[in-house]
Amino acid sequence: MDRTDLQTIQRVRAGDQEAARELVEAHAHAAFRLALSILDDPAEAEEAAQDALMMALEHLDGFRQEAAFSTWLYTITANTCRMRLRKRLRKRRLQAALQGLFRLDRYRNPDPEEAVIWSEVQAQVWAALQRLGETERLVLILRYYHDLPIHQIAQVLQVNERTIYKYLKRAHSRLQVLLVSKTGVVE
Amino acid sequence: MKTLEHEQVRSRILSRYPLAEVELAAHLDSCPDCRAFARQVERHASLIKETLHVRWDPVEPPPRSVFSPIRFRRIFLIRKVSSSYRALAWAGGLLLLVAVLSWAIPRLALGQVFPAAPSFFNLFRRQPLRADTIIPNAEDLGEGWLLTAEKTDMEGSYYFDIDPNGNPTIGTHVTKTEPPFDPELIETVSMRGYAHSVQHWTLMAVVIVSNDTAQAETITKESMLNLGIDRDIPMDQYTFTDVTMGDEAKMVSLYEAQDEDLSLSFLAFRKGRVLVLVITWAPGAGLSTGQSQATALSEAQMLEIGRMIETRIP
Repeated sequence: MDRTDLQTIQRVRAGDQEAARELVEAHAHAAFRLALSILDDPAEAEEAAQDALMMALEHLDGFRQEAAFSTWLYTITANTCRMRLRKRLRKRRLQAALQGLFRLDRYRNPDPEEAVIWSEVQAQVWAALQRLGETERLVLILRYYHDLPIHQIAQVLQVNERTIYKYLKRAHSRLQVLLVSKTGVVE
Repeated sequence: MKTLEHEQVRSRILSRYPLAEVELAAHLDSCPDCRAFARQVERHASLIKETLHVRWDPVEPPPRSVFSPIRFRRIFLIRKVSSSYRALAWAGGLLLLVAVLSWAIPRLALGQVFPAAPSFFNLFRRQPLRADTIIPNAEDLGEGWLLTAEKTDMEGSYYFDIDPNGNPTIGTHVTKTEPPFDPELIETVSMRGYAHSVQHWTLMAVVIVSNDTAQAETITKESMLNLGIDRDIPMDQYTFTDVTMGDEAKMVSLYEAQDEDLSLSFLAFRKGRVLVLVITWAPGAGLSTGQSQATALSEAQMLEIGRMIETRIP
């Protein structure tokens, strides 16, 4: 547990607003980066990070210091983002149904992918990642983009390490199947 | 040297790449399968890293001071209240629990495992507005409005958005404010995080103000069937019911269709130049939406919704 965080948290618990601001500012970027990597939408990631930070501050008394504050905040952020993902999924189902109903293919949301300059391989890897299950994709992102060790991923997702290994193995195996069909991406 | 099992090797490969340990290296030297697995993991890791960094690193994070002073004050007000009155809140909560239990227990139906969902009608009334225009410039059809509502469980999650009046709420934007529909009269509900809820349904109402009623009616009927056909629901699984909506409204049809993934209910009617198509769907047993168990809206509920919309047509 980071000593600075611990001291700041104690000050927040004592009612120090400046300490709360320090705590938020110290972790805002990390929360945003995590939210961005789950939601893939900067505006929504900012909202989710704010919600997560606010929730963390409101429920700070429930933080038991069993893990680092950053891990606890990651857990809250991941949960907040996953709820948003599910809401988004339902909205997409509605839109898909509408497009089916009225053949409205012309009204579609701008695709953030269009703003990214991809190599062909990166485009295929991104497409393959999108075809994984939500949890498998999240585990890969936490492991290889955020460089979190297995035990911390387990803490963030509130499952045991064995489950994370299972998800990782399954994700690699599915990724291999998805990428192997694209010539040259993997052997 | 200690001998490692394949499973141990693979867990170590997943937990720490690049590979460094001597005993791991020794196993990999002698095991082509694990060697291939290690190469695969390293290759994937490198591809994922590269791809995700290209995608997300250029995105500028927001300023670190993400909270306005008002939000900060609100958080501290909540914290202050919660710490000062915790004991009082516990006692109050206990009393409330006793009151709720004494009210609820006599009303529990035998065999009802899950708590009932709140009445759609009540949700519909108290929620804020949301209406999206879906056919903004279709000259042949006039205008179309989409109203959505849904009720879902969130896998045991308890988070609600609470509006200033204390009602659970999400979604408040109105993208279209001109006539013919006064947005104040168009209501819909979107609610999430219903504690212990095991029901999930989605409602969509499409309201079309048509310049050519005959054509729009045909399109509406065909569209209803298209949705079913897209889902590969055989025609013999549709149940059609004729219903009269009222003196002015003419019922087109009400039907339901069901397959293992989806339960659909349709209601369509016309009132003057206005066509209304109400669709609800709920996942069937085959759809993997967490722990959900689907409950489609009943015919009576559909009609209730239809009549509610009908009375709001100017």
